[in-house]
Amino acid sequence: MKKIEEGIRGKYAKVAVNPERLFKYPIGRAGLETLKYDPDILQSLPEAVLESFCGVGNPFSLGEIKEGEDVLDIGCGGGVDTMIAATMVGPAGRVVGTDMSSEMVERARQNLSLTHFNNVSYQESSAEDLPLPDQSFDVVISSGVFNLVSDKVKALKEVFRVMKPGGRIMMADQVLTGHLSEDVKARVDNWAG
Amino acid sequence: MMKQVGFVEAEMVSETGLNSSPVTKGALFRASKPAVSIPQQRADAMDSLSKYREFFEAAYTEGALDRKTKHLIALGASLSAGCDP
Repeated sequence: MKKIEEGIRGKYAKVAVNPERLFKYPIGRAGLETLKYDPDILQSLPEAVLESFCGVGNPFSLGEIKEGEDVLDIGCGGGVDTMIAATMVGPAGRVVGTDMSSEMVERARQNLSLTHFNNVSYQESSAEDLPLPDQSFDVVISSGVFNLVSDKVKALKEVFRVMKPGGRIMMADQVLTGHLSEDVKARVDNWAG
Repeated sequence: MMKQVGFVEAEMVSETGLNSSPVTKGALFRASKPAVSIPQQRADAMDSLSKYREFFEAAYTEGALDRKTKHLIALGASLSAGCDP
């Protein structure tokens, strides 16, 4: 399990610097457009921020995020979804992004510095142990993260704990549809894919 | 897995079309946390029960009529109304 976590950290340390050619699907602006993210919101964000996008789906397509709501993005990567959420919640709302990779958190903070948002913050943490108070978020979003989490039930319990009563989770992820290779390296690569 | 944790209305909504390997598919999921937690529902139910007990005790407190007479009147009223006393 430790080897898998090291593989994931290693991959996302590289993604934080340059995500190109590390994914088997479109990323950056191309990925955002393929997934039909709101073009007006994309237009309002710096291109350098959009380049960091490596999501596997559009969690915002699953339901409305309202002005003033508190949103948590688990596995926020370069922070593109956190800034999209910050646009939706407005100054009365708040967005927190967490990521297990210190390099990704650093990239998210750099991206944030290119914007005007002052209601977004980032914390380095694993999904299984969120350093956040109980019942503090209306919405939890996540994209391409839970497939990488080793203890999924523990991570979901954490989501449940930090979510306010009546809160929603809106999540994009990869689901297994076939058999993985028995080769250990290939398994780690797929886990971090 | 989501229901096991306590989420409700858990569903896989659709595929995203972005697949990271030949054996995985991108998919969208959503679920909700119940608006009122089960411990809260239990607390609310206990509160209602406690209020009913207060009402019951107040109604049967001896006053112009004694407790036994009040119970007999209640029994007669419930029988005539077709209630199970």
